Amino acid sequence: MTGSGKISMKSDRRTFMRPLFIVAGFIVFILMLQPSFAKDLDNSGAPQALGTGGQVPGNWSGNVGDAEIWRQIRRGVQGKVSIPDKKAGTLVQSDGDGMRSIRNGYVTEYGLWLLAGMFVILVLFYGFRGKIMVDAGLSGNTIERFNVLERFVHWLTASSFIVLALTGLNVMFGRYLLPALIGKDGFATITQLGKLAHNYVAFAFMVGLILMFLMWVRDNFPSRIDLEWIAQAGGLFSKGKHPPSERFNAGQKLIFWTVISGGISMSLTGLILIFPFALTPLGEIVGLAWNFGIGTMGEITALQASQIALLWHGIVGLVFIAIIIAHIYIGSVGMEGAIEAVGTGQVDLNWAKEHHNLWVEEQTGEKVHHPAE
Amino acid sequence: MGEAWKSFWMGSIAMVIIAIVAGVVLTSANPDVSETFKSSSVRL
Repeated sequence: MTGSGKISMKSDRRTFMRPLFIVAGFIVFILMLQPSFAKDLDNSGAPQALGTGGQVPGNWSGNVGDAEIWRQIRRGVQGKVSIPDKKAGTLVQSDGDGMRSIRNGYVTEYGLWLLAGMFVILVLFYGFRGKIMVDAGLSGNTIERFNVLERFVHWLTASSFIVLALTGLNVMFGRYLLPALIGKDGFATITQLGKLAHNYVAFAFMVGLILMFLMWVRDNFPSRIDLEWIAQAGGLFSKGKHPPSERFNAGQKLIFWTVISGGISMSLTGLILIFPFALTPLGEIVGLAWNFGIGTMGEITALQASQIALLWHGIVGLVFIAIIIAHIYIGSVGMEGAIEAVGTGQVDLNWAKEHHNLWVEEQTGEKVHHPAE
Repeated sequence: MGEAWKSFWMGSIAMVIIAIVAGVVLTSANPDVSETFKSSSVRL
């Protein structure tokens, strides 16, 4: 039997958490932007000489020392310049050293542990649980899970993500591994091409992200059924256990919102990095958050915004990659019958009944009894 | 397998096309580095 694959949304579907979810997501997004490592650069503390155009530093008697002026310059104060390029007013920004040490130290080290840890967890899980098979066995009958458009959008986003992840990981870790393998020139060439690929494929990713959101958002709002699924851990840790699920289970909804929020986050910071001084939303957001009493900074310079964006992009990227590795695992090696959903679009009926029983009921109009019972 | 994974290839080709279009747009929008730093260039 082949189903139509189209979901008919019932008006009495319980989505009481929807507005709460949206508000909570917005609050978390604002709080996530709180930078805790950058210093508060308050230009109003600068010596008077710096703030007044044309005035001789130290006045006519030299009563303001050069040391204070250079101290402010070193901290990144933006002076006034007569040329159109106002960025030239920032001569030095020592904060950049701090950012660089965090990025090349903590982020690189813990990021590597995160990725390696995810691999280890998945290997252990596979060893403990094995491949999750269809308890009743494959029936040979199929039902359409995703149509051509849905699968196209998924692969547009997924392929873009793979390219972005690999080129991004090269930016973060490549220098520690590749030069020894392919030489410095080879590494330079690959990194140069990878940077261009990263910048350009990012737009394909953003297109896929928007399409994916429009396509699947209505099926991914949390519902009461997700609580039961979570309570049983999706049946991941016990054979024969199949909690109820609609078209997307709680785990898949978490992946969806991770991709959307992480993707938006990566896209915004990525755009700031491609157009570092033309796009300065971070400055406005940080300033806005600071006005509401959130965060430790007031005004930030465009350079600081770029540095924050770079750190955020790297950290979120690493977490994003770790989560998607788990998604790829469970959708391919980890579960029998899953990959067909985004391959042919046709999934085995027994697989669908075990993992998405409520969705099958919507599609077929028949009550589903777990085939293994 | 090619027929079964048609959507994968469609998505991947779309990715390449969008990336190329983005590359062309970005490259033509930004001045060449050599132009920017020429002594005769007036940076506005």
